[in-house]
Amino acid sequence: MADKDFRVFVLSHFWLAFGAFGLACVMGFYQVLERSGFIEAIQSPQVYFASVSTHGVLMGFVLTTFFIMGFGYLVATTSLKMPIWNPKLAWAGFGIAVFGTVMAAIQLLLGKASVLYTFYPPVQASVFFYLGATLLVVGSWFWAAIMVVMFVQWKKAHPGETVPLPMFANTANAMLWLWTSAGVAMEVVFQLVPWTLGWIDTVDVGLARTLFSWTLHPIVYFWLIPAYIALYCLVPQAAGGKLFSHDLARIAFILLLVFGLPIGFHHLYMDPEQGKGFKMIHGIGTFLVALPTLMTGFTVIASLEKAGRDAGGQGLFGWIGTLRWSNPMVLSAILAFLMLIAGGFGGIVNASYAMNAMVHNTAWVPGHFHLIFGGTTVIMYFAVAYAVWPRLTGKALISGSLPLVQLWSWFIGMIILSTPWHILGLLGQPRRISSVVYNSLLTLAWDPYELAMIIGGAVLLGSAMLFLHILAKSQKRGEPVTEQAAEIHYAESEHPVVRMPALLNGFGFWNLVILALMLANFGYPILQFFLIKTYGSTGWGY
Amino acid sequence: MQQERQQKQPAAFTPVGTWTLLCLVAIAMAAAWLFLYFGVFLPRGTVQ
Repeated sequence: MADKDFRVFVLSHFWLAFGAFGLACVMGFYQVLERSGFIEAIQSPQVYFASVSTHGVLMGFVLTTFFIMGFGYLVATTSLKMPIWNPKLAWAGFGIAVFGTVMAAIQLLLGKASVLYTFYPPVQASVFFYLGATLLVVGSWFWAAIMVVMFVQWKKAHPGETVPLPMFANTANAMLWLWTSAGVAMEVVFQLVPWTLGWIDTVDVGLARTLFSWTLHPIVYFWLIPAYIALYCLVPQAAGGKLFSHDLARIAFILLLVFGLPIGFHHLYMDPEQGKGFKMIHGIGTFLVALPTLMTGFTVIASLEKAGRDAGGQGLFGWIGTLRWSNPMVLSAILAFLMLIAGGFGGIVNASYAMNAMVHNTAWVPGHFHLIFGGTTVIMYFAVAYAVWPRLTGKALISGSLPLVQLWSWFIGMIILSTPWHILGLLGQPRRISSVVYNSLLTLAWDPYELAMIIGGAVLLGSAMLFLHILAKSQKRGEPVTEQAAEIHYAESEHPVVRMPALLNGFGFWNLVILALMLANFGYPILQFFLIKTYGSTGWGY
Repeated sequence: MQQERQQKQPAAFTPVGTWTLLCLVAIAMAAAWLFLYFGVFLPRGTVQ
């Protein structure tokens, strides 16, 4: 694939991702407004649930999948310095994913798939929604396969050499995705599609929720790993320093891959279909997987500290002031960590078996995942877009300060939106409701928080539109840049590694470990549905 | 094939600011968790 074609190819992924993101932000603002009940004219549960389902699918599946694929291709070609393997296959994967997205989007917008982005049965959608979602995933498998092939090809061509860290992490993500998407694929193919087509009368909800939990937690790491790639490989360079520890980075990605997978039952703590023992095992795993995030925080902040001290920062915290706050990548990393700390705390509460009962199915939960996903993850997607835009478009960003305004406004908006959400959860407000107006003293106390959330939503919408404006205008009217100036530079390691142990340079052994852990943690919990009498449910909602 | 690691000598840099920052974050998180558990969760009592 010629460079020009390659840039069009990656830009196609990015524009599809960010276009979906913009639309989802508009819907998000409508939702927070509708839900508050302040404006009677827009009250409509039907429109609300169609909107919230579309918002979730666009953010959780479309923005992420297309961004990750585009960024993944870019990382593979720039870090390995080799062209995409089989461009026709890559375009085919993109085409299938786009076709699936359009198919699912039509059903969502027609109100025939108001099943939220988790599409838990017995709520039922049109079969075309499930088929569309499946095609989106199938398209992404093409990407994952190409990443794995390129990884293997590079290793064969460079025997004994260390795979560049960005590609190592990128391949870990491709493998994570192949593993994690298998759960939801089984649910859709063997349960939801036959049930929706009427081939079977009822669906086993417990089995469906178990299979979805296989996917539901690791998918968060699928979204997060590109953000971590930026944190490890782009942030230290942007800060004027080096990566503090290449080894810790590799170990963190392996831990995310291995322990991110077999822990989904913390989403089922309150469900009756799984036993306490398995829930406890998954719960322990959940706390274990916090380790790579802590390692990431340490390694990246240490890299920033070194850069800050090299720039003249003194004392215990003086280096923070000398960091390049005006660099979008560095600023994004700082803001991402602040949101990760707050969101991480919420996650620890969710993962605590007893306290989970207090926040389960309350507004606390969307508050938490908006901080982690909409905050930490998406702000790093912004940073990546700003960093790679000159490489993809051949044009410089239109302004040095507008991206900073956009990043700060996204951070402030997310804090204003998600803090009241957490408080409302503790006050007992349920999630997944289209209206909070009950005319009681209890619910009247929610009003100030609802108002704050509307303000937060408005700030976020403004920030999202500014982001799209910066990208579009830069691509159209930015100053041309030379290829050399637009080149993507990955951070060097503070301690250059000449040779890497095989375990930290490949995934063969780790895939066996994952297989063993998945069998141990999901084997019997799935098998039990075929050994004991269970009851199916008929569908409703569509 | 025996894998061998050859690294250059690490530079003399201890990220003392990072350690301190992360310790402060850990203490704040633990305190917040304890507050939520003992101050909010337990006082609500059992399901009636």
